[in-house]
Amino acid sequence: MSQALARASNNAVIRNHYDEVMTPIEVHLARAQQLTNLGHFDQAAGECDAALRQDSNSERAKTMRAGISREAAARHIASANQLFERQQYDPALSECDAALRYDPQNADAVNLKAKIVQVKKALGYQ
Amino acid sequence: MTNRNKRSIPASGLGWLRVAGMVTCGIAGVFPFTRPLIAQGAQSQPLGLGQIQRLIQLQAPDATIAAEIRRRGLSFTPDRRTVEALRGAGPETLQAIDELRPMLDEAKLAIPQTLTKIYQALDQGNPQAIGPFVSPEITSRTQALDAVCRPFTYKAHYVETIIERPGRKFEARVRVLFKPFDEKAQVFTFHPNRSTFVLIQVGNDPLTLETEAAKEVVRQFVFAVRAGKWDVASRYASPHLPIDKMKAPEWAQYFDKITGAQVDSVQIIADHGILLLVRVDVRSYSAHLPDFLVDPATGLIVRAFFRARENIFTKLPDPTGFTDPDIEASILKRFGLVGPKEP
Repeated sequence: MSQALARASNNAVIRNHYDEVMTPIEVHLARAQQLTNLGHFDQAAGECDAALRQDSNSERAKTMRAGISREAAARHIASANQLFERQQYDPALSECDAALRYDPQNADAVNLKAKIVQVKKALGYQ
Repeated sequence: MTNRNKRSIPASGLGWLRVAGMVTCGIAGVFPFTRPLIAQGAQSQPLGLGQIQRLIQLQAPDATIAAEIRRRGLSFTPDRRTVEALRGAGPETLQAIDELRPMLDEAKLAIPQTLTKIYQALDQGNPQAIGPFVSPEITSRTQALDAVCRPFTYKAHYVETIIERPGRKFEARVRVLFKPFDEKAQVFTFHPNRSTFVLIQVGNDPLTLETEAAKEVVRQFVFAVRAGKWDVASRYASPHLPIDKMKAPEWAQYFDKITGAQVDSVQIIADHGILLLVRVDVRSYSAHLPDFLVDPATGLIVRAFFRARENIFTKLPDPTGFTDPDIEASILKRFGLVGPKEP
C-alpha cells in the first residue's frame, strides 16, 4: 500500500521523512490525510484505524476518522446528486448507499435516497 | 526525538479538507455514463401532467424533470395554462414543456404583426426599432437589412402562408411590393423567443410548388388552344388575357403545327411583379419556342405566345403575343391597393 501511495502522491521522500521524524501514530495520520486528498477514503480510514490501534484514546485520530467519514459521505452524496440529475437513478442510489456506509446517520444521504426512490416510482420505473 | 522536532498534523481536519476539495480524482465525475440507465422494461410512455406535478412536489432536480420530458414527451398537449398548473417548476422544466407546446396558431397571429413592425421601421430608416424582433446577425448587416426592405421603398406586403419547420422554426412566405413597382417573394424564418417571434433568416422564395403548377397550366393551355377548346383555355388564363385574338386564322395555322408541349425551362422574373416565365417546346416550332408568363399568385397565364427579348412571331397578327393588360392592376389588387376592372 505504501508503494502505491508513494507512486500516487509522488511524495516518497516526504513519506520517508515522516517515518524518520514522526511517531507511528502521526505517520498513520499523515498517510490518512494524503489518502483522503486522493479520494482513497477506505484506505485513509484504515490508516486512522491503525493509528487508533496504537493509541485508542488519540483524539486526533478519532477526529480525523470522523472527518474522513463525513468527507467520503459528502462526496458520495455529491456524486449521487450528479447521477440523479443525469437520470442515472440506480447508480445514484448506489452512491447514497455508499455514503450511508461511511455515515449511517447522514440525513442528506437518507433524504436523497428516499427522494430518488419516490421519483423513480413517480416516473414509473419501479 | 522531542515533540518540538516533529511535524505537526492539523488535528481539526480543515487543512486536509481544503486540499481534498482541490483534488479532482474524487468520486464525482468518474462515472462514464452518458445516457440514462433505466431498468429493462421500464416505462417510456409520455409523461402526464400529474406525474410532472408529483416530480415537482418531490423536488426532483429541474434538469432531471426536463430531461425526462424531452426523452419521453408528454401525454397531454401543453398550452400557456400548463405553466400555471406547474407552480414551482424550474426553468429547465418549463423550457422543456414549452418546446412541446404547439405554437403554429400563435405564430400565425404574431408573425404578421411582427412583419408589419419590421417593414415600417426599415422603411423609415430606423433599424434600431426592430431589435426585439430581428436577430443580431441581420440587424448588424446593412445588406441583410436591405434584403428585407430598403429605406423609403416599401409599398405593401401580405403573408401568403406560415408553416412550422423542424427545430421550432416558423417559415412565413411573404409577398412585398416596393416602389416604384418591384415585387419580391420572400421567405422569412422566425424562431420563438419568450413571448415573441424573432426573425433569424431571410431568403427568396423558390416558388417550387408554383413552378410545377405553372408547367402544367401552360401545357394544358397549349393543348386546349391547339384543339380550339377556348373554354378550357380560358380556365388557365387570367380574365383579361385576350383569348379571342387567338382565334384569328393566322394563329390557327400556327397552332395546327403544334405537335407537343414540353416545358423547356421556367424562370422566376420580376417584371412589374413576380412572374414565372415558362418556355415551351412545341416540337414543330422547336426553333421558336414560345414563352408564357404565369402569375404564381393566381396560377393563371397573363401573357401567352411571345418570346422574351425577341420578336419571332413577325408573320402573325400579334407579333408580341397576347398580354393581359391588367397585370399590374391584378398585382396591386393582391396587395389591396387598386383593383382591376371587372372583365
